[in-house]
Amino acid sequence: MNYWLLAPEIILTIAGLVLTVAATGGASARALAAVTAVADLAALATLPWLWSQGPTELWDGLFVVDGLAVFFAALLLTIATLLALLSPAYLERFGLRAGEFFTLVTFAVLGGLVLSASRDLITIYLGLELMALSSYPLAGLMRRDARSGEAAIKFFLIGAVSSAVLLFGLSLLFGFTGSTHLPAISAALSTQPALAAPIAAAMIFVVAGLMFKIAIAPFHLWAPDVYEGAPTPVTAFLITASEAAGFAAVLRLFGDGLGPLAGSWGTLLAVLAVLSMLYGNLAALSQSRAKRIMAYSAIAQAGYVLAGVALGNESGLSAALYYLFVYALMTLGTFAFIAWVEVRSGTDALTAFDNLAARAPAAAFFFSVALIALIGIPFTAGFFGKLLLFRAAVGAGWSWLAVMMLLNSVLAAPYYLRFIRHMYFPATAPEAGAARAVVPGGIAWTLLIALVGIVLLGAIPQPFLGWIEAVRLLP
Amino acid sequence: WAVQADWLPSIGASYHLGVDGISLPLLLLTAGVGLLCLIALPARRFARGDVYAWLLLLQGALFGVFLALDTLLFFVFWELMLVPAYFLIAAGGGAAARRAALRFFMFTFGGSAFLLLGILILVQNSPGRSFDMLGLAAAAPPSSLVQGACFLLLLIGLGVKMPFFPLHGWLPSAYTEAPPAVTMFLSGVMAKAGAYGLFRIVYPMLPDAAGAYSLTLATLGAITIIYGAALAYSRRTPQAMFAYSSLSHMGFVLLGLAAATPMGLAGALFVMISHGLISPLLFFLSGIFSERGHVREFPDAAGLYTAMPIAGVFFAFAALANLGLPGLSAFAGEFFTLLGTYPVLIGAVVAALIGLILAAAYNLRAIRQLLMGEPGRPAADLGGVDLTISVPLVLGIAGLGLFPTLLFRLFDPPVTAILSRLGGM
Repeated sequence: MNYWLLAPEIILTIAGLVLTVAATGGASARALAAVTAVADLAALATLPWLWSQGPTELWDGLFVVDGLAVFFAALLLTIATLLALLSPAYLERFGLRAGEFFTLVTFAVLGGLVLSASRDLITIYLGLELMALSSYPLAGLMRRDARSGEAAIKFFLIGAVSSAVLLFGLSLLFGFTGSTHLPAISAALSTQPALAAPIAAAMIFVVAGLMFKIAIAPFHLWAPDVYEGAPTPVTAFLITASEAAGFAAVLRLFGDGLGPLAGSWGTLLAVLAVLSMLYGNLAALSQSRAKRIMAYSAIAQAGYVLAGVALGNESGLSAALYYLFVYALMTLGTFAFIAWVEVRSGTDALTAFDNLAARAPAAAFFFSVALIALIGIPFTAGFFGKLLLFRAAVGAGWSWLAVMMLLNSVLAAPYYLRFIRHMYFPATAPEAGAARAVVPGGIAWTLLIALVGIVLLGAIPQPFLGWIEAVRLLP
Repeated sequence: WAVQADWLPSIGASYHLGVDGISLPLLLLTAGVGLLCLIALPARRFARGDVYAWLLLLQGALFGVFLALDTLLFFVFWELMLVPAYFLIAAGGGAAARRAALRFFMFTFGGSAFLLLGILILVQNSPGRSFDMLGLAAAAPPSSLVQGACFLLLLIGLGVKMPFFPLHGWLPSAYTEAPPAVTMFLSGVMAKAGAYGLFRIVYPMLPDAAGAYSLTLATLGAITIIYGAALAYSRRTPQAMFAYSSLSHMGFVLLGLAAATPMGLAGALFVMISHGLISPLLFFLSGIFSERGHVREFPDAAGLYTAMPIAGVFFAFAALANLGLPGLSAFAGEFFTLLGTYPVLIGAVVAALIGLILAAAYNLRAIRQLLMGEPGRPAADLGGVDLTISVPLVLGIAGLGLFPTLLFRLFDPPVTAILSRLGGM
């Protein structure tokens, strides 16, 4: 029993406990951020060794180490590290309890790790719940703001209901196949000649429960309010890490467990993905607040990733994973800048972005690159991710999906461009000789790292792509 | 003349660049006109200095487009053109410029969605699934259904950039709202990228579809010529007039392509280059008239010839070149195009001739209204910097007009190669 395989989880647990104690001691936001970042980096450092240990299972599949587990661990830990970089400025400005913030984030990431390193229904659900329960208070961290409280309550209620729905579906699955171990479930299902009613019901419940988690239309109604009301670093976390973990669950359950039923859930997921894309993009066009725009954009972007998953083949999987990773980079870069705008002017309305190109040229440029990556212009990782998705769709013969994705790419451009327009070509003329605005160090570093990642992965994607293609689902 | 490196073996795209007779003049045009536009950008007008960066970036992207021998690489550079162009157009200042920039972006971005889909389908249906252009051109063409679909998709995607009717909605506002130096580059060089794509990708790889849609292309080209010329005649400002004139000339390119005869193709290419010299000169001089001559709309007689003699002469030269005066470059291009189209599509030739008559009308009228008469107030004539910009263009136009074989010799080998793919129509 090689407990070293649990290294990242152990590191995070220790870090979480340390942070809990440090929080009561009244340490500063930066110190706590440093502790979190160090822990995350340490966990990241163990991953190459973990990858070399090859596919292994512990405790009958309750915990596995395989390509998917390592990928999601890398993704979640990277997100957490960047989050630790960009949050302190925001936390200090708005007087939020940094100890609680970092503790909850660490435990949420731990939940995500547990969830993605699992081939058993029980630990999947456990991980999902750990992440969800840690996220609910995070949404309500701005205690004096009514919208934050509303966000937390909405999030909790919807989250609890969707967890229950998911659990019901999982229990139906267990009842029908007699095992919680995903390969065993898959084997049992492959002997079914047709789609029996309980299995269809189980599938519907699982789909509903999971689609709530990743905010796919039409299960997305909670997302805009929650994403807008929560503190900006929390929103960034929810959009990147929480959705990534949700997709890990989707990939495990559908790729691993419900694999034999791919014909049934493939089209269903594809339709949901297209609905998400359309709804997210169309709704975002009429918004005037930055966080709400990004909230709807997140719904649309989740649709893209889901489309890749729905294809059910290896190129679709690689495309979805690649896009998830670069999406995290782009989103964190974007939110770092939005957080700075809020720190600076107290609001996230689009007018707060006016003239920022003159006041903070470098930061504005980095932000623009992140936006351009989200639109999908080449030499950014965002374009390449979309290209992979389009190519996978055309290659699988699902041209209609490719057409819808292309259409949505075009639809999405105006609302991203709106940020650029406000920064570079505002309606109000700039005051002559305006002073340069100072960008906090952590936010600046996040923007820089995001930029480097986006451009590097956009220009020379091959090494990273090669690694992702080596990530396969276990047979 | 080619370089190739591994870029994305996972999906069959490589970093493949090369030059041939078609791309060489376009590259020289991009470099030359780009340099002139950089000189022409007046620094004091812009709040930030980044316009130079954007222009260089646009130039770089265009180099990439003209050099790429890998379809994905082509598309990457094609899309890369969008962002600098957006910033350059919006730099014209004012809400109208912002709207024009957004319109341009959305039109072109939408078009490129079609382009990408067409490329992906084409690659998907080719043996080997590689994006390489030479490989795709040499391989057997796909089934006619696939060809037809790809042809339409690529036509729309590339056509937005040229543009031709009815995909030209972004052109009038963009060309008039952008700073003159920017419009010089956009109309002189960037517009050629679309036609280049047709030569490089569509015709070699989709020969049957190209033949089948020949009449459609010719019709669109003819409509573009007449529509552009008619609207140019009715415009009230020089910039708008020359914007539509630019549209009209791109119709000639489409006509030559549609004919698919040796003279037609070569003529179309020649028109591209010659227009790439004439159009910047026209927009440059219009910009000077507007700023220093204080003439923004077409009055009855602005007398600019008396006020600014050198500029007046150059403008007359450019306008005469624009209408196709023999001895100047446009004539060679248009004449050859029509000569090449005549054997196959007589109706289109008739339409084009109508367009030429209209071109004569609006160009001569511009000369009369801007140059003749008594000047209202004194204006500074072309200075040293302005001459540095205009003289090379004038020399180029005259040189190509008097020695067109310089270019035609370059065009011959690739044109022959394309036609052999088409089955020697």
